[in-house]
Amino acid sequence: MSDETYGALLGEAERHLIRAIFTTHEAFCSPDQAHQAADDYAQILLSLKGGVRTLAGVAKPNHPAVLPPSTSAAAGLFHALDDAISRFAGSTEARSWRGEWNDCARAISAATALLASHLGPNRDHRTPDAALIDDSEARRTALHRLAVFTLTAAEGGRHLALRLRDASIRFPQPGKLATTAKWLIAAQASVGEAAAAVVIDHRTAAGRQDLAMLQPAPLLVPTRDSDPVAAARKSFDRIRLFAHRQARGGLGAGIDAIRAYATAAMLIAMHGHAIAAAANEKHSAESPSRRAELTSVRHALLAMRQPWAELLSAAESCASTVFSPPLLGREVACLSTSLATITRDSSRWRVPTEILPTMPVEERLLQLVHHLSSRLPDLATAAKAITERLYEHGDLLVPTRERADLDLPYRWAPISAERLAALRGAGRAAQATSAKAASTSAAVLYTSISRQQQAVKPASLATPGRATLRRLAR
Amino acid sequence: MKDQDLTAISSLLDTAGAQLARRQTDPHADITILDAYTALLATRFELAPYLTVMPAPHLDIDVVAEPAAVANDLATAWTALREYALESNEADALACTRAATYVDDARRHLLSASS
Repeated sequence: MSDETYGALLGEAERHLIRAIFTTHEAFCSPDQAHQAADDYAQILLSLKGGVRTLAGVAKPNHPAVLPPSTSAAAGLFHALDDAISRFAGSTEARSWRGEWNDCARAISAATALLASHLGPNRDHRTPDAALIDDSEARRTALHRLAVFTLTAAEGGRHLALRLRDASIRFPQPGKLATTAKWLIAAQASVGEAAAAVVIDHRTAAGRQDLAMLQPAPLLVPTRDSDPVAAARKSFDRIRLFAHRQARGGLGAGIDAIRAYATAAMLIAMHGHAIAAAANEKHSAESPSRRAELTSVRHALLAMRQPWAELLSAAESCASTVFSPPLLGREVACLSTSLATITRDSSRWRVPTEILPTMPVEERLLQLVHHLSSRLPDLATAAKAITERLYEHGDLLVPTRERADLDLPYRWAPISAERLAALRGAGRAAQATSAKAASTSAAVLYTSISRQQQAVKPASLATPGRATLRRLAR
Repeated sequence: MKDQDLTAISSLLDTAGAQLARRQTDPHADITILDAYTALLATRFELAPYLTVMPAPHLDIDVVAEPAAVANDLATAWTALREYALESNEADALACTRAATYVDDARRHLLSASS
């Protein structure tokens, strides 16, 4: 089984970044293309923020957030990235389109997920390799490489900003593209400066042994978290890492992978619905607006279930000669067990007060629902990529006749145009409804955080803006 | 064991999976049918390397790594499906029972082919 390393994923991100910078030599053909490039660039900054946090973060006692130490150069970079993202007016939600900027962001996210797979929720070590992430020399070297990457990305951002400014003149969309270009110039300057500080601060670490050879934990150890919320999160993150690698062809993927993704999505739809329904019932005496928000999440999750079920059913009627690693199936089973522990007691659904006994638990579970649903479009993207690859290789097969003695499908033929269309259509519907569920759960979570902040802050303090709330939700 | 035996065992498991997958498209399907499908999915993932079934007639595989262990896994999956059938509503129970029957057929076929 080929295992991608942290270094290989970073190398891939670097290649995509260079190619993306080269694309800025050409003018944009439409305003949509320009906005898309800006959105994708913001995703790179978001992925880098996660990367810096995972590399430089430390857990503080009794504090859930893992952040870099405030005085370090890495903290400066983290805050510069955070600030840049919070000022971005476009969208940083995961998209299904593929482009160089987007691919670069995905590769950075996968590299960060690879590191995170070795660590527990409180940065405890889940594998023997996790000690390497906390080794100060290896960390400094890895941070140096990431800072150099960020510096290159900042430089690329300058080129992109100039192209956006061109587009703002060329296309009649008053102000919007010009504002994005202005944001990007400011963002790339501050991020570049902070990245340069890390490069200088860590210059002695350059070229030493770092985390480049680190392989992902998911292929080595199954989930062992005793906390079902953390376990569900970890299992899902590993499924997502599988999806990323399988979509790119770095790991064997047959039709069984699509079945696994669809099963995971349906589990999230069902259990997420149960959590949202419990919250809805618990707050039934509260304001109608809160009820309406929670109802919208429930409906969005339920609407997502059916297209994924159609995709699962369509995938079950096909076969392929390639198989996925068995651990993917085990992670789906772990996700099922973890979510069932939260919402059910044997075959009985838990009552709302059992699922959400306190406000902190409710907040945590709503965050879990948001975390899971917001990443589902990635699984749909991977399913689409795998379908197309299997089809191109003539490896998407269907049974053609029954065996007389067994009354079973025996001979196989390439998939028909109708069945392929059904498979593709189900994939597209799953993608669309997952994106809708992701945006709905995000909106409700932001509002929920906003309410809590208003409840704890003195009235004289200003209410945090939408961008701050969006940042806190991540 | 001949390649057609492996193909037949794999097909039986696929048919069991299809029984449960088809039920998922019913909006009124119970969560237990999804549990049952998840359990069978995990079993199929685990067994795939042992069965190495390719839907092509040219393969010449005559050994299943550990027939007894595979048969044991299939027996466990059968038990789980029967339990899900007891917990489910009528339509779901029917799908679970059918799936359990196919899994049991796969186990019997494996044992007879490897003996």
